[in-house]
Amino acid sequence: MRFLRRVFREREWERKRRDVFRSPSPQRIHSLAEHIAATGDESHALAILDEGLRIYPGSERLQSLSRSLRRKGKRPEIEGLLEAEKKSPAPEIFGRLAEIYRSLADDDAALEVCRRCMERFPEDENPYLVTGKIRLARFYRNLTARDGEFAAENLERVLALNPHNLKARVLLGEFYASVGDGETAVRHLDAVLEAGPHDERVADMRDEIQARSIDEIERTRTLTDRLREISLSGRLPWVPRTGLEPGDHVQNSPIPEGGALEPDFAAEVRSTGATRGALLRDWRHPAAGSDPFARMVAEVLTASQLSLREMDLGDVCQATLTGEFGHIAIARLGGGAAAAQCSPTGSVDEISMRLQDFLAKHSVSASPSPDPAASPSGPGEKDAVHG
Amino acid sequence: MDEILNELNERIGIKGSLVVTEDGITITSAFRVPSDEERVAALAHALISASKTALLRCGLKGFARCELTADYGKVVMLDLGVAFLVVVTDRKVDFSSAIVDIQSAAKRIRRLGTIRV
Repeated sequence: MRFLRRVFREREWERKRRDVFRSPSPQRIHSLAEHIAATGDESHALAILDEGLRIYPGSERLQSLSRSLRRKGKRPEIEGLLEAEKKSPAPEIFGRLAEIYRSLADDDAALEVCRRCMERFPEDENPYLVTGKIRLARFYRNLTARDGEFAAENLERVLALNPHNLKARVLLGEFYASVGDGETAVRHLDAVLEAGPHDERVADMRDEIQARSIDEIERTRTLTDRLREISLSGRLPWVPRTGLEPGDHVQNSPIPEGGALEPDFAAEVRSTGATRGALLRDWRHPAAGSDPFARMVAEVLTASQLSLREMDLGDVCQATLTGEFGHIAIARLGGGAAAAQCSPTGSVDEISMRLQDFLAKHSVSASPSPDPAASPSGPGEKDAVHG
Repeated sequence: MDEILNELNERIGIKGSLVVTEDGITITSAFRVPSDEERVAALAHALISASKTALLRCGLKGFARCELTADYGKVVMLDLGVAFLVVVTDRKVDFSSAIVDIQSAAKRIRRLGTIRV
């Protein structure tokens, strides 16, 4: 009987899944996954979310549910390891904990575990390697100077503790190449090729980096200067082969030109009950003479981005402002942003979510281009919508 | 005031909090990592000023509350009159429940009386 019920339920879910993915939206996928998770079948819900994230890699709604379900699944193991850490701390325990937190995309918790491990076992290279990897992944994702500095510092520390750590050398080689320091990159990759068995991938990377022409000014620039420039321009001189995760490319992409998005957005804003809205295809390049509300959104996002990056919190994805004017919800995804103003009684959280969904639906995953000429950098189109 | 901030910081997920005037002077702060305090205060002040200016240019008065969600954390800024309460949290913290404690802390700070700089 139980078997039949399960078969029936799975068929029903499959029918619903097909229906949702025939005309997908982050909201519909989220509802289905949430419904399935509520029945206790978390692995099925996660599979739906993974499928959804392949379509909308930047969807905050899908990411958040996915993180929460994964965290729930790993809770018993985490609790066991924390208990073991209390009783008899060992580098392996810290390593496993950090690995679990990383798999849950909980960077803060993983970094904290590494910090505890460094305190107890300062001569162990692993916490520095894990910290370096996390910071490097963050740097490639957000291009934040601070993450780049921390990545280099920790990976260099690994090599100071163990000069034969080839993993750290390859990561450093790629990192220095990505920031335009070809000489240092080649030095690290040469060391890898000399120390270990011949690796075709590393050899190709080394040859490609060495073939890039570097002038004298470029050669003498410090790492801090290079990182600052990358953080401001939002572009890497050389895009690494590894270290990028699905969805990373969305981070810097504006909403592509074309497509009649503005009427859709106006309808979306009206349906939320908001009084006005603004859609910015590229908030970093505000067009002169655009609507004051859209300009305000760009200014708030610019200030937030600068401050939060320096606070080591990464890129801003959402902002809500409350005052005598009611609420203003701002959502950002990559170079695109959407905002809406509603009355004090309006549901600002729901509006925020809807704006995030709208951006996730209309942002595409375009590969980052190492060639500035190939990246859109002109003034972004901006539109204001009055509901 | 320190006591109020320390109590607030005991809540799971709160990394630290501070009270900063509109001129950028830090009245008090409590952070889990002490080295962060000055940096966060300066950045929070810059953020408050820029946001208020942007709102004014758009014909809107300043904000009473501003909540920011970033990739690796969240920031809440509450207007206390002559100063702002700034709270930095983990990404996991749910604003809808944490905001009750944050607002209650803001209310207690306001009740302490006039903030003299």
